Amino acid sequence: MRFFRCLTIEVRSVVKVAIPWAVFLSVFSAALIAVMQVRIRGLGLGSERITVGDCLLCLTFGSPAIELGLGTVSMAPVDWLVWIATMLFAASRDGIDEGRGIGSSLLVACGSRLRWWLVRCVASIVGVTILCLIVWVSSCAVGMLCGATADLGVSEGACSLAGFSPDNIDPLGRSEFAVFMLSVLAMLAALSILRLALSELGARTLSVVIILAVVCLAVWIPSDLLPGSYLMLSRSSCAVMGGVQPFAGLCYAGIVGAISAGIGAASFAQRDIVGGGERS
Amino acid sequence: MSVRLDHVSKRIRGRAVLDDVTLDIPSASIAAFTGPNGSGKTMLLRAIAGLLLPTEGKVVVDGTELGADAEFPSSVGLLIEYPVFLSHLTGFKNLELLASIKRVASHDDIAETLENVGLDSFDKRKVRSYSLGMRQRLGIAAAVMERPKLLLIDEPTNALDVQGVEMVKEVFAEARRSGSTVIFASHDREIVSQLADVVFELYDGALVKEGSA
Repeated sequence: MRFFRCLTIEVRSVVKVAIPWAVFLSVFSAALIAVMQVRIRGLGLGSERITVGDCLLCLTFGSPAIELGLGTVSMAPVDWLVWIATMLFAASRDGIDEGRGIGSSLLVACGSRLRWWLVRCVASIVGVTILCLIVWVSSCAVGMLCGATADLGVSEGACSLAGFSPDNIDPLGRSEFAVFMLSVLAMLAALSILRLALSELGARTLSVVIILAVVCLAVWIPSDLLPGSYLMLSRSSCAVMGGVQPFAGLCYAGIVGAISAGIGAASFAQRDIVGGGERS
Repeated sequence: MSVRLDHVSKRIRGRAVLDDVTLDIPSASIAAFTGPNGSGKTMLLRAIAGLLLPTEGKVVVDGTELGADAEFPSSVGLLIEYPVFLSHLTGFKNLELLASIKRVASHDDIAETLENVGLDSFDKRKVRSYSLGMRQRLGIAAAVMERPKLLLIDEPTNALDVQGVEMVKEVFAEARRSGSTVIFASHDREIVSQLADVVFELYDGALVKEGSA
């Protein structure tokens, strides 16, 4: 029971820090949806109303692989980069610092370093999940206020804007799109635990930068081994032939999260809690 | 709750912060660690709390070896270094949060403890508006509210006025009366002589003197 009591406290602390970022991302995604709608109508790409699926596509589309060369930075999907960077940054905000004051007392009351570490990992997952849900739900809400239909399918206009055939997103494949969104959530959660583990190993400041750099590499390098490939709909098999499988993304996220949690637990078990995040 | 340290040493980044410390503190007593800044007083408190893992030696609290039999003492109240709290909550809410883990202290216990340390249990102000003295009182309240068998307090009279010092004396005396062991660190020899039954003097991480106050 102590685990769940500690978890409640840590989740409240993590969510409190993440809420302002969720608001920012919600406003950002609303702007993206508005731009998408204007572009679809302006370019005459589709006469039907946009869908809730279109709103989610807005955030997660990314881009097909960009060949390295002159001008490739300017071609990078800025909207996707902003969304991912903000999500990773928001998810990296720590809860209660166990090295100081009430944090040390909570750690000791928790009774076990492993239990406290697991609390932090689970709280991180919960924080990312809440953050994602807030952003996605608010995106859908904004879209529906703008006239979007409550349909997880992607409209012809949005497909044309994204540059791929609507035939690739099978209307009957909504469940695969849902699995893709789940894999995005899982990958973000796994990366947040990886950030915790890197921070525990001493790369507290660099951990977010390192992870962001690795994720962004996928913009230029189309590799199944890069986590960023599983965060972009443009690389997913539910949108393009031969794309990465969302289910594989779920498994990959599970492996990354489990290994990160294990490494972090081993490191935390040996850490001296000397206050201010110092390490011996 | 007795505390025993057997040849405890700790090196951090090549520097010996604790050097072959051996001491014995009996139950229901008040012990003080004293010495200049950097002598290892706080590190010793952290080692007894289980927050610092000795490089050599062992820490035994009430017959339980930390690191082998348990990670932390089973019943301990801490105030080590700065009294840091969740600044967006009131003092009462902070204590309520801490008490929610073990559920030993009730709402009435928390309110009574706050009154005993000179704080208003109905105060709606957030901790961020507290003075240093108020935070110190809140830190002491957090440490004693569950009536732990072991109290570890670093610089208990820091930022406290005359009434605050009297409050600390009363809190320590009450803890001893109820059978708890109190260990505090202070560089103020007058406070040490007023409060402690036994004094351990540290210098450069080593125990150089032991005796009654």
